[in-house]
Amino acid sequence: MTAVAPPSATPASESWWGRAAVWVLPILVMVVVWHFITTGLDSIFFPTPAAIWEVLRLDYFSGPASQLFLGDVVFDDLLPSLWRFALGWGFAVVSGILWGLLFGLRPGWRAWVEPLLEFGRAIPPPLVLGIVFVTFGAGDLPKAALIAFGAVWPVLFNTIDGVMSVSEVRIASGRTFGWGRRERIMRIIVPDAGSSIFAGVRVSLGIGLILMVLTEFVGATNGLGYTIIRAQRGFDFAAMWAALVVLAVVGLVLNSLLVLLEARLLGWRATSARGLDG
Amino acid sequence: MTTSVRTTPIPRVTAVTRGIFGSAVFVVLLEAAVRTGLIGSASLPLPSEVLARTAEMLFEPDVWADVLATMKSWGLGLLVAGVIGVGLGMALGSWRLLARLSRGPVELLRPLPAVAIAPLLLSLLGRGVVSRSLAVAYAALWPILFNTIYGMRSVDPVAKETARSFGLDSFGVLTRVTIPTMSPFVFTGVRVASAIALIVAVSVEFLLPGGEDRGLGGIVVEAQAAGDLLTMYATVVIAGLLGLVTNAVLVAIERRVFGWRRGLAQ
Repeated sequence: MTAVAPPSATPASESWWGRAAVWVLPILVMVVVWHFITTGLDSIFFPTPAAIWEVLRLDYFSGPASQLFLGDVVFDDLLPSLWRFALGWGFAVVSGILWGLLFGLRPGWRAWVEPLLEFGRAIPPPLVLGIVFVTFGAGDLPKAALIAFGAVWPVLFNTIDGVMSVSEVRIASGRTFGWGRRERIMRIIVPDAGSSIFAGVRVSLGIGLILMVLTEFVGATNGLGYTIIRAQRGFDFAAMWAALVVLAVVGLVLNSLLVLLEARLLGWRATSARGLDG
Repeated sequence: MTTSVRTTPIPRVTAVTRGIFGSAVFVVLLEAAVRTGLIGSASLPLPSEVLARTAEMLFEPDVWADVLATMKSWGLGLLVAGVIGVGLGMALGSWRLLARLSRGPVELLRPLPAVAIAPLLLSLLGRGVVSRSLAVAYAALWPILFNTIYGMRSVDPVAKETARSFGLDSFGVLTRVTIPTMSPFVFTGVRVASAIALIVAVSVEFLLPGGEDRGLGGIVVEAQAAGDLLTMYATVVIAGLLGLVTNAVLVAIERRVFGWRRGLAQ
């Protein structure tokens, strides 16, 4: 991997407000354009931003004070979705990193299972859905298990790659400090492999969200995916778009948290903050 | 002398031997465990039965029609994503202001899981290959877009200047310097996108009612309704083999064409 470090596009002098404006203004422009297009089209498939906002307000932000003013959909659909996602994705990330460390540090051991791992990675996870649902039912745990199955591979393989590409000199230098095995793993190998691990974790986030939605399309009675399918059947496209907006915001928040976490944990080694303009 | 923190890679021949042996032992142990009733019950078919069913399915023309249907929406989606991703990526890679202004909308649109827009596309465009490919394209767009931008940025300005001083016009600089430098990045983007594209292509098939071109996902939907576990396992095996072959082909092309010049996986 060529780690080109382009000069930062954002001038250092620019204020926090300036940067936020560059971020938010184009989104506002997008909403305004959307407003004029949808008003002109007048199609049930493309509701106006106002109509979408109305659904969001009613479903998500108009609960009683006892629910912190959050609407029923937050508790009935959003939180169950997030719970299953957190369960499956969290398991995938933790086990992917641990097994990846082991297999990265011991290529000889990995060789025994390498074809099985390659095969597991090559299976499109949605196809396993049928087996999981027929064998274990369509409850929260089977859904989380499917998310974990799909999300584990990028983490596992990126961790192996990252550990394998830590330079021998760096590892040897740990010995001159008199560090033991554990210290060398935690203070040299894990940080040096960190940006590769995080790249895998970000890919797994996207796959996990896809599988979260899919499991709710097929076998759920709640969740964001279920609200989309319910809206499709009821021709309630404003509700469908509202769910899409919520999903986009969920994805954005999770992704931003990852970027922040990487910057905090890895410091100068972090690469994810490089967006379109970085 | 204790073993080092990280052991050195083992020779290729040893690795392959261990891999074959390991997989064989896994299958045999699983077979024995299911046969003796150590694990599973009616819900876990014998590996030998699964392999037999896989071989049987490989000779059914319907199965190949389904494989083809999945590959069609996968390939078309990748193509659309490639055209848009490379075009947009070159524009954003050339004009920094444009890149800065599109950051907000892109960061908002990118994390939206592509399957979520599938019901809308199906309602709007019907169940045909167009709606399916568009859902695939949405997912495949982002890795290609970002890798194209990184590829554009990694072009050495000195090389561009040199090319100009040799009398190349801007089109010549584009075809002789910029495109050769960025193409490995673009290809890496396509390779990364192809895995996610396959996931989305199969996912969308779960939303389709039955029919001829139902795809691999359709086989699973039908088998699930019939409680036919054997077919579901065999479909997974077939799809896994297909995935292995596709990935091997893409990696081989990448090695052969671009050699050491690799893009950034993102």
